[in-house]
Order: sequence, then structure tokens, then C-alpha cells
Amino acid sequence: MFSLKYNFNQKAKETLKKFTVSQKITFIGVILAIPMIIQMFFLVINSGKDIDVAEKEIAGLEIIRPLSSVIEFVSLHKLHSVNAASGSEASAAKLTGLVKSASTAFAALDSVFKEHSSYLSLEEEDLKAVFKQDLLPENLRKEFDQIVEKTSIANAGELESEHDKLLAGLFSLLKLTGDNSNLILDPELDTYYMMDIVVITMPEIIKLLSATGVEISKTMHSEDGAGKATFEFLTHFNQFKKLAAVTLRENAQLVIRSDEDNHGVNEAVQKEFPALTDTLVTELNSLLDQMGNIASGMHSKENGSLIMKVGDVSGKAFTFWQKSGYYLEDMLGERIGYYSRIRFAAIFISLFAIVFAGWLTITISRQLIKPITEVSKISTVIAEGKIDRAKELLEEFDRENNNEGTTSDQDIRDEIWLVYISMNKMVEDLRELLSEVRKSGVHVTSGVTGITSSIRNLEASVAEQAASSNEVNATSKEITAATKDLANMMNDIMGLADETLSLANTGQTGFDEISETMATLTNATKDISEKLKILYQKTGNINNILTTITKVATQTNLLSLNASIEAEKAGEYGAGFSVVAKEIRRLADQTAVAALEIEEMITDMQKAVKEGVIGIEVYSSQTKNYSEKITDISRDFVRIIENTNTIIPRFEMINDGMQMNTKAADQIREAMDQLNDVTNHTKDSISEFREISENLNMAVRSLHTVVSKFSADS
Amino acid sequence: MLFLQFQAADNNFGISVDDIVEIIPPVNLKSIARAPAYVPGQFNYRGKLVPVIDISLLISGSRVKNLLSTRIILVKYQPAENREETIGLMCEQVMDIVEPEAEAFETPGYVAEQTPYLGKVIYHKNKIFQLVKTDDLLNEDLKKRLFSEKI
Repeated sequence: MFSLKYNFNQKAKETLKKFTVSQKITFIGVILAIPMIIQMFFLVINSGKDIDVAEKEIAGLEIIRPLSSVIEFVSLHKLHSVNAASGSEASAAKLTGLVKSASTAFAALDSVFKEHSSYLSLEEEDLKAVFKQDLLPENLRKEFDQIVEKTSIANAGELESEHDKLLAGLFSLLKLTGDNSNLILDPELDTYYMMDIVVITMPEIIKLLSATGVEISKTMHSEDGAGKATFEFLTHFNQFKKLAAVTLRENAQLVIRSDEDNHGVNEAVQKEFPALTDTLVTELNSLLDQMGNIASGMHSKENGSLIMKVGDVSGKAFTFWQKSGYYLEDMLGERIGYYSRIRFAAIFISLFAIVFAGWLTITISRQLIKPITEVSKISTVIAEGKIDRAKELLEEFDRENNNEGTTSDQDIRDEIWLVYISMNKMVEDLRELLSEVRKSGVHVTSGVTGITSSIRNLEASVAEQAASSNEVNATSKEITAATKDLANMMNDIMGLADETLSLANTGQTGFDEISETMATLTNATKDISEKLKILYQKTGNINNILTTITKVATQTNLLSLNASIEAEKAGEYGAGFSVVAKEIRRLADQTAVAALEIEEMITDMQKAVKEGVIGIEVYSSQTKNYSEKITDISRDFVRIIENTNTIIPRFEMINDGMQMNTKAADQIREAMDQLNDVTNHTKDSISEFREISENLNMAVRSLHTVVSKFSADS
Repeated sequence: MLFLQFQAADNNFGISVDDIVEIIPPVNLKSIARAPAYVPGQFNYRGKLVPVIDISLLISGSRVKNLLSTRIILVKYQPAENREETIGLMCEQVMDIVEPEAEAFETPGYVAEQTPYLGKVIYHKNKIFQLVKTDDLLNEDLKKRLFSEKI
């Protein structure tokens, strides 16, 4: 149950969020207007009812007015006809005028009755329904006409009873009219006593006046004892006394009071009515005093004039009655005016209230919404961070709303204005804040730049790590591939080893042949070496010969020199000899030069031979070495063959090991892949961390500044 | 005039043919005790003891080399007036006789105190020769010691 209620509440709140503030206010206004309109409706209807009641009463009064004339004239006619029947000349003289007045009154009654009969439910059918069709004015008139016809024929008693019957019908009609027009059952108090006077008291007085008059006439003309008051007279007299002296007076006072208490004061009634009543009451009292004489048994001749006086008083009472009727109508009119005013006021006030409420709704919602919209717009602008724009908007808002100095900030109670004022202050604070934040922002930016650069370095190193792990991965792949290649190569090598084995076998036989050939070569070089030694010795001999030649040439030179000297000593005789000596010296020199050249050539040859001998010896020794080495190689080949035979199974073992290596390399590669993933994660985390650190750094710093600012203000 | 050509320390020198007695190949010399270095010894020439002077050592300070062209030149020497002796000059490259014009001789630019025996200079056949005056070869002391008994 609670949850249902809660849900409804929640839903209502959610639904309300979908409407604007002005719509909500309009909604509230409409809801408030409904009872107001209903109330107005009922008020108008009630007023209409009251007015309707009053109008009906007026219609009734309009019938009562000619009806009262009819009653008056019929009563007077009764009095005078009875009196005339008793022999009064004065009364007989008045009868014709009375009949005329009565018929005029009847005609007036008839026309008014026809006019209002449907409105007051007094048509023939209505009367027939309550068996009172006799009360129709036409029938009553016919009755009166019959009475008038009988006036001169009938005696007093007959006339009295006939008149009484007619009067009873008239009073019945009066009462019926009073009932149907709500006069008697009027719920309002203001006209009640006046109505009482008009509908009950005055007709009764008129009736009693005529009745007492008739009784006086009776006493005057009684046969059994003149001047003796009848029982009927006393009864009527007492009734009349009570009515005239007490009821009328009291009612008149109550009319004044009730008029004062209800629906406003009728000045005419207040001023004129008491005086009128007093006059009538005085008249009635004087009449009563004279009648009192009759009651106390005093017989007088003045009784004849008393009857006339009764007729006069009756006329005065009738005038009062008529005036009272007008007063009543006036009061009813006043009441209608009052209720019309009330109705009008109700309608006007209600309409005005509705219109005013509508205007208020629109104005207030505008007043509410416009600043709210402005403020929310400005808040949005602030939220967007355009503080300067917000400031401009605030100033614009200020100008538009003319909020310049009329009320000080402390006196303003409108919450929106308070929001606006605080927002203004906030924007100022924000501007200050912003400048401070900008200042500190430079430091923060440098700090963040430092952090960012270090994070970049970190990133770079992670990237390097990733790259190197990739490299390792690649390398491990290469290792796997290489191992596989190597395994393949191993297989090849195993094949090659087999081939080597066979080749080594053939090589060994080849080396044996080479060994033999080398032995032959060694012998041949030995021969060449010996022959070259012989050649060297022989060139040495040639050299000796050349030395001899050179010596001879030198001796010849010396000889020629001495010969020249001797020839000089011999003077002219030795001249020819000097020439010969000179020529000999020249030959000796040429010989020496040639010998010298040959000597050089021989020396070169000897040198070449010597080198050749050495070369041959080196070659010989090398050949010897080669021969020995080939022997060694041959021996090695034998060992190779043996080793190769033992190597092949080892290669198979190595091959197995290689496959193990391949698996291990695969495992390394997988591990490296995992490491790579981890590195990538690390990289992502670092980039995230960088973003977060940047954001966080900025956010924390700005927040710190803002918080410190606000705490400083408070 | 005829001059016998020889070399000492690669320089060319010449001796007038008129002064020369004979040219002989090098012979074994008998050394003279306590004699200067440039007097390596003496030998017997046709019954007469002849002192030999190493002219290369005397002029340039380097001892004469043992070559096929190294010879002893026997020249006339007058230690005193009216007295004629013979001395041997050991020289290198004694190979030829030249015959330049007498007018071509020139006086040398510089005469050292130690070499009074070096004479005029001549340019002949792309070579420069300096003449050696045999009479001035030995100083007075050596002259006395070599030829005292005979004086």
C-alpha cells in the first residue's frame, strides 16, 4: 500500500518534471478557478432564485392592489347597502358611486389577474384543481353584480350575508394570491411585517371596519332595544381594537426595525411610514373611543354620523393600505436591486478574480520564468565556462529589469533576484578565480608538461621494450627456423659424411700415387743442384782470367806513362814515341774497362747461379716436406675414415637435441608473445595513466584553488 | 807543358813531368821509426834509399787506398843547392798525362799556412787541377832529419 502510494508520488513527480513552470502555474490556477466558478454559479443561481421570489411577490402585489380596491369598495358597498336598507339616505346616495368604483376596480383586477395568472399558477385549471374556480375575478364580479341587482330589493340581513360571502371569496383569493406569490411564506425578514400589514392586518381592519359599521347600523335600527350593542359588535370591536391598537402599531415598529436590519434601509419607509401609521392609529383610536361609547351601552344619535365616519376611516385605512402596498413593492424592488447588485457583484468579482488570477498567473509566471530562463541561460553559459559572456548577459539582464538603486540588495526577498544577486557575485568571484587559476595554470601546465614528457619517455622506453621483446620474439623465431635449417643441414652433413667417407677412400689411393711422384721429383732436383755447383766453379775460373787481363792492362798503362815521360825527356826526338805511348795507354784503358764490364757480368751470373742453387735446395727440401706431409695426410685420411664412421651416430644424437632446441625456442616464443601482451597492456595503462594524470592533475589543482578560495571567503 | 794527373781525397792535382824520374807500382816499404804518419817508410831504388810520402794524408788527412791505379811517383828533390835527391810520392788514380796551355794557369784565391807546396790552379777538360811544387813539400825539420848526413 505504502509502496503504491510512493509509486504514485514518484510518478506524479516524474510527470510534473515534463511540464514547464508556467504550465504548472496555469494548472494550479485552473484547479483553483473551478471551485470559484462553481461557487459563483451557485451564488448566481441563489440570487436568481431570490430575485425570482421577489418578482413573484411583486406580481402578487400587483394583483393584490386592485383586489384591495375591490375589497374596500365591496366592504363600503356592504356597509352602505345594509345601512341604506335600514333606511339611511346618506348611505343610499353613496351606493351608485361605490358600484362604479367597484366595477372599475374589478376590471383592473381582471386585467392584472389575467396578466399574472400563469406566472403565479392562478389560471382556471389551477383553481379548478383545488376546487376554487369560484375565486376567478370574473365569477366574483358576477356575484357582485347579482348583489348590486338585489340591493334595492333585499333586506339588510340578506345583503349582509351576500356581501359576507363575496368578501370571504375575495379574502380567499387574497390569501391564495399571497400564498402563490410567496408573499406569506417569504423567507426574507425585511418585508415580512410589511407583508403582514398589507396581506393580513389591513384587509382584516377593512373587513372589521365594515363589519362593525354594519353592527352599529343594526343597533341603531334594532327593534328590541335601541342602542344596545350586539354580541357580534363586541366581538368585532374587540378584534378591531386589538388589531388597530396593538398589532398594527407593533407591526409598524417591527417593519422599521427589520428594514434597518435587512438588505439596507428604505429611506421613504423610515421617514414616512411611522407618521402615516401614527395618523391612521390616531384616527382608528378616535373611532374606537366613539365605538367604546356604544360598547358601554351609551345610546346616542350620533351613531348615524359614526357610520359615515367608519366609511371615512375605512377610506383612510384603504389609502394607508395602498401606500403600504407601494412601500412593500418599493422594498421588494429594493431587495431585487440588492440581489441583482449581489449577483452582479458576484459575477463581476468572480470574473474580475478569474481575469486577475489569469493576469497574475501570466505575469508571475513570466516574472518567474523570464529571470529563471535568463539565470538558467547564464548558468549554462557559466557551465560552458564563458564567464565574460555571462557577465555581459548579467549586465544586459540588469538593464532590462531596471534594477538600478530602487531597492537595496538587503531588502530584496524575491528568491530569483537573490539567485541573480548571488550569481552576479559568483560570476565576479569566478572572474577573480579565473585570473588566479590562469596564473597558477601556467605553473600547472609546466608541471603537467614535465609529467607528460616523463610519461612520454616512459612510453618510449616501454615501446622500446616492446620493440626489443618483438625483436627477441623474431630472434626466437629465427632461432627456431635456424635450428630447423641446422637440423636439415645436419641431415645433409650426414649424407655428406657418407660421401666424404667414400671420397676419403679414393683420396687415399691418390695420395699414394702422389707420394711416388714426389720421390722422383726429389731425385731430379738433386741432379740440377749438382750441375749448378759445377757451373759456379767454372765462372770462378773465368774471373781469375779476367783479373789477369786487368793486371796486364794496368801494367801497360804504367808502361805507357813512363814511356811518355821518357819521350818528353828525349825532347824533339821523343815526340813520335810520345804519340805511340799515348795510343798504347788508350788501348790499355779500353781493355781495363772491357775487363771491368765482363767482370761485372760474371759477378751477376755467379750471383744468379748461387741463388738458383739455393732455390733448388729450398725446393728440394720443400718437396721432401710435402712428401712427408702427404704421408701424414694419408695417415689422417685413414683416421678421418675411422672418425667419420664413429661421427654418424653422434650426428643423429645431435639431431634429436636440435629438435628439443626447436621446441624450447617455440616455448620461448610463446613466452615472449605473453610478455609482449603484458607490455602492450603496460603501454595502454601508461597512456591511460598519462591521460588520467593530466586530467587529475588539472582537476585537483583547479579544485584545490577553488576550494581554498571559497573557504577563505567563508 | 805536360802534367801527370793524380787524385787526393777526390780532388785533382798535377805534377810537372819535368820533375818526374819514373812511375813505379807500389812496393813493400820499410818503415821509419818515429817518422810522421805521412811518411809511411822508405825503399831501395836502384841502390839508393828513397823516402816515400803519403801525399793524400799530407793534403787531405786520409790515408791512400790500395788500388790498381795507386802508384809511387819518383820525383827530383833539392834539399840544398847543388844537391839532388829523389823522393817517392804515393798517389791514387795515377792514370793519365795532360797538356794544358801555360796562359790558363791562375793564382789560387786562398793559400793556407800548412800547404805552401800548393801552386797555381788550372781548368782543363772539365776538371780543376792544382799544381804541386815538389821542392816545398817537406818542411825544414823533416828535410834535416831525412837528409842530414848528406848535407
